[in-house]
Amino acid sequence: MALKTGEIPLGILYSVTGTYSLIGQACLDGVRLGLEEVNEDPRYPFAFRPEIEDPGGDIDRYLAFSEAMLRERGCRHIIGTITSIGRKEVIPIIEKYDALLWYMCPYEGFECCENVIYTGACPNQHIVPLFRHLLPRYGKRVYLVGSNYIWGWETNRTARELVHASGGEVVGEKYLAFSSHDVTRIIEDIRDQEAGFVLNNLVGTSSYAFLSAYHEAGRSDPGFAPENRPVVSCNLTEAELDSIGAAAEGLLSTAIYFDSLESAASRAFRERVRQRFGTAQRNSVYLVNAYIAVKLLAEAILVCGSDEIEAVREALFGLALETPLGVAAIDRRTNHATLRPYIGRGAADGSFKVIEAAPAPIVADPYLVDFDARQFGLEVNRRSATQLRVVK
Amino acid sequence: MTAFRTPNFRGWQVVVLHREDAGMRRLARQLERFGVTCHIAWPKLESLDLAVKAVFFDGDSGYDGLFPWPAGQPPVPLIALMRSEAPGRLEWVLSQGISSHLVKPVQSTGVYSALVLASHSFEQTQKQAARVEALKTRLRLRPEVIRTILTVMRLDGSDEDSAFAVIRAAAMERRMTVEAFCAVADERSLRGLLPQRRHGGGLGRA
Repeated sequence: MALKTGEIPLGILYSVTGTYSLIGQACLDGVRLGLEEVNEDPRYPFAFRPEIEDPGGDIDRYLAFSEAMLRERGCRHIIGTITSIGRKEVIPIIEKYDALLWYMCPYEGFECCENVIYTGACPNQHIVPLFRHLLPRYGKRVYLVGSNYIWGWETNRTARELVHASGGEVVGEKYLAFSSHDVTRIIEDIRDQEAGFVLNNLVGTSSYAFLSAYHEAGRSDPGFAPENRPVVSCNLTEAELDSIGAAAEGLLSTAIYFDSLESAASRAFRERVRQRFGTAQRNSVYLVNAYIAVKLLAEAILVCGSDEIEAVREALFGLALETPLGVAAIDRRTNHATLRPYIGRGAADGSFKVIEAAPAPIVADPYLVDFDARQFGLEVNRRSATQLRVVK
Repeated sequence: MTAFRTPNFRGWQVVVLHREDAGMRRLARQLERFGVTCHIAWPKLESLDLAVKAVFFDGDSGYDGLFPWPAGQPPVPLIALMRSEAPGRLEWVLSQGISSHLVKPVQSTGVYSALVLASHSFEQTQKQAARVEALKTRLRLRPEVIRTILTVMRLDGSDEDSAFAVIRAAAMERRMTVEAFCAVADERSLRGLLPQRRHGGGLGRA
């Protein structure tokens, strides 16, 4: 049945105010760009009508906003939520109305809801490749910091498992409340513990405060220099690098997209973003992935002729849409995207230089079913031996 | 602090004892995401394949004789699928020896934790049952220990503490519990444990 020309309401739920507003803004920019392209493109016989709400990072507002979108404004799809708390708050209402949530941020895994499409990286696409890179190079004494909620706890737990599997040691683990800037004691503890590297799972302004203090400590103590003891993360992107300034130099991060990627698709997208938002705008995985979510949804609706979620999901699994990340692929088994992780090194100008790329896109394994800790440890130790020979 | 190992169910087989419906198909799909193969059976499970690692079952319509094992003694973790909260149903479900439960309609959320909790709880219960069994055996053999202590005291002329020390050392050497050792030790073998000098003296006095 052909879809009649008309409007399709689309819920957009991002916190563009509050502690992680920079990420929310990048997501919203990506959604906007996607919406404009779809709505102007005559190929699509429909236009999205965005229903935008800003929960302001206040967890109590996610449920009411999403319910209003689904019940009163006719939305069947919501693109949104950044933190896992936000996503988990929304899922019951999404399930109740049998709608579809498009979640496109990296997260800690161990979830597979049939009413969610996951296009961000999960652990086998972020922390596992990141630690496979780091442990042979910076040693196996690891310090873990994080914001006091599920993302920090669980990503650090996975990190601990990886470190132990490699025969290493977690020399410290500290958490800060959301928005807390109380980082001095953590810095002093890191100094005392002589870690090889520091995994930073803080979010938003806590993270900026920590990185700034760490950078400051590096002025007098070479132990804090990025070449000696880098700070690494699974969720730091260009969206936030500008606000970190000089402290961004030498930070390592893993992401499924960096603005500096030199593929033709990536260059073209970078150009488009600059035309739309101006030259100051730096592209990030949040922006690109939110953009892709809109395009995937539009394309799936075009193929199946409806915004019914069953039909959209079925169409989505069969799509081969060209995106700035390459050809998008959503795995039918898990509703998760197949993604190629990269590791980037931050520069003071707010960019990331890509220093490693996975040889091929990796199918998401949200429950780490195919992950073998023992195998990981063996591989890390084999690489450590190679790495040492290279250094000598 | 040791790392909590990521639970892994890769290669597991489970049985779902429930009439097949959309919810059970959703359950099966979710289990497959953990690497688990799922067989749906209803209204009866004739036998349990040795490869099956857990059984989900309908707590609302379950009945005596549903399982091919003595009531309340499941050989694998049992997970009840429940909609009813009627005390009579809960009583029946509890009497089956469940390790965890899932509320119907089954959603994607909850299946993983139900499986993790059930396998952990079942393992704990099995370990505890084995411990209780071992303790019961030791309790049953306590008279044997007393008898053996008295025998050593008589042979050796020693006090209770040193007699017990001799017995415990001998049991440890043989990798047995004190009780198991005492159950098999006779006077001749006990005499062999005692030092020759004091041994002789003891006999002389006897």
